[in-house]
Amino acid sequence: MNNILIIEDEKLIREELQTLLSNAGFAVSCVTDFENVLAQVRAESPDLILLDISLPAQNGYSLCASIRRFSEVPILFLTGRSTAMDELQALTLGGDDFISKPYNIPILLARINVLLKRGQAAGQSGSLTYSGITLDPVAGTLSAQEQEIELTKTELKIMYCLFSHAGEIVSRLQLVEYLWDNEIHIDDNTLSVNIMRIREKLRVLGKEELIRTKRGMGYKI
Amino acid sequence: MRFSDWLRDKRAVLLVCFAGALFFSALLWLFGLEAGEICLLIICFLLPAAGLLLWDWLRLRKQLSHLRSVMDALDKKYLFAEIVDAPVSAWEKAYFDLMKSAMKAMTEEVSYANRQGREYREFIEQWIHEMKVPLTAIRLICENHKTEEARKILTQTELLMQGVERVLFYARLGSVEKDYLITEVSLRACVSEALAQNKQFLIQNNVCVQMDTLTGTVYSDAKWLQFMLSQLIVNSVKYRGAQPPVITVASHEQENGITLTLSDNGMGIRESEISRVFEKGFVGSNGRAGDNATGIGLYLCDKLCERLGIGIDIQSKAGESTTVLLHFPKSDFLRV
Repeated sequence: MNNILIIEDEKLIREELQTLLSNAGFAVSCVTDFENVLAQVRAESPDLILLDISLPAQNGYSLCASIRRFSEVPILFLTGRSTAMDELQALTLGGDDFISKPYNIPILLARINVLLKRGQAAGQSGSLTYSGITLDPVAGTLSAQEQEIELTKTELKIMYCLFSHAGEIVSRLQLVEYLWDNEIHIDDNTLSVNIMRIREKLRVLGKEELIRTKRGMGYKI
Repeated sequence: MRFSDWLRDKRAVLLVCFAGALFFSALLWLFGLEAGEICLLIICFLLPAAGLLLWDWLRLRKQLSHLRSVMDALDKKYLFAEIVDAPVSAWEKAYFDLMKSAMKAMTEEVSYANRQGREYREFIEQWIHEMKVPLTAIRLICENHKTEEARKILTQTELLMQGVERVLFYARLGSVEKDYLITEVSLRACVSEALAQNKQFLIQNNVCVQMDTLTGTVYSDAKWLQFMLSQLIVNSVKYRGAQPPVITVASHEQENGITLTLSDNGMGIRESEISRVFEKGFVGSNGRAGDNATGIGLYLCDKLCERLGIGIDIQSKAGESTTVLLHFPKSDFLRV
């Protein structure tokens, strides 16, 4: 599990960020004593640092420069300021990326993932299996008992979302939001059309009952 | 100043000269002088007078053209009095001093107004940065507790953010050249970010966005570009038609650059109004029918495009669709 260190002085934002990132599956620690940030950075040796610029004792820029003296850890600047100068300064002082408040959460998570993958091999998700059906996200196929069908990009994302919530009800809104986060910008009606197409394809596999509609709640596999 | 104008200025002197010449001719005639002698005397009197006046005219003309050239070369025209040499004659000097103090008062007034504008702008920027903290907190809280209500609050927060952003960019409009960072921007990524900024608002409005043919990169400032795209996208939804909004974003590679088109199936713009949509404060019949048109969004887009060297154009069929075209000219020297 990747360890993320949050250096942010607004208590509420810090706590909510911590919740958000823990939910997204990261180990999160926070700096609370701003007098001695560097020692905490050394002690934690995180995989990624989220760094605010306006901090009480020492501002983010100089902090970044100090951290760079002993560590190559990826640093993502989070800031309310957004002028070109701020951006430039953040990047020239050794920051890896820059995201301005109020950050969009999917974008924040995407940037974090990009930075984390930089150090390691990309964690490509393997195939998922549920009730005899295998979803291969890399090949973009669904297969059952030697039979295989191709999925379009949208269908693949829908199935991936359903498979990763196997046994749970996924609401339509949740699905649409998931698709928007993955750069597929469709509305509710188009989602229905796609679900219908997936069901047709599942019929070929003899598994048309896989996706169940929970009236007024969503879909479930 | 024309010669005739100058003559009119000097008409008193000229009159005295001629009247004097006439009077003395008559007097000398009565004293019994010959006509030839009188003529000679008059010529001796008039010639130096005419010479003096002519010299004066030439001097003035030269001085004036010198002053004009100084004025033309001057960037800040109101500093004119500080630059030019003070005149020599007492009357001109007095006049010059009066004008100079008037100019000085004006310069002070101008710098006072400038300072006030700058301070106001700095205050607004500061205030916006302060606003971003609670806005970020709201977003995070809603994201961590995703309920029906939280989604509604997120939608409203997105609109709030748009408004705040618009104020920020309006305040910065005067100094775009100090605040841009030209990088290679992927059009697709930029549009995606603009969509993500308004995700809840767009989903709640059942918006469908197609961007299958959107590719290519341009050299521009990502932050400003994203702001413009966000304004245009929200406009498409605000002025939607009867059907659920469908927005199509595409790019066309051309010989002299890339054109990005953003089209919707909204209510369109009347032909009589389309030429005015970029005017500041222009609302139009669509805006008056709705409730939250400000007449600022497209104005800002137009101004920003001008500063960033992007061509912007808008086409529409009333009741059917609106298409905004952004043309990014290909610039060789940016590729160095």
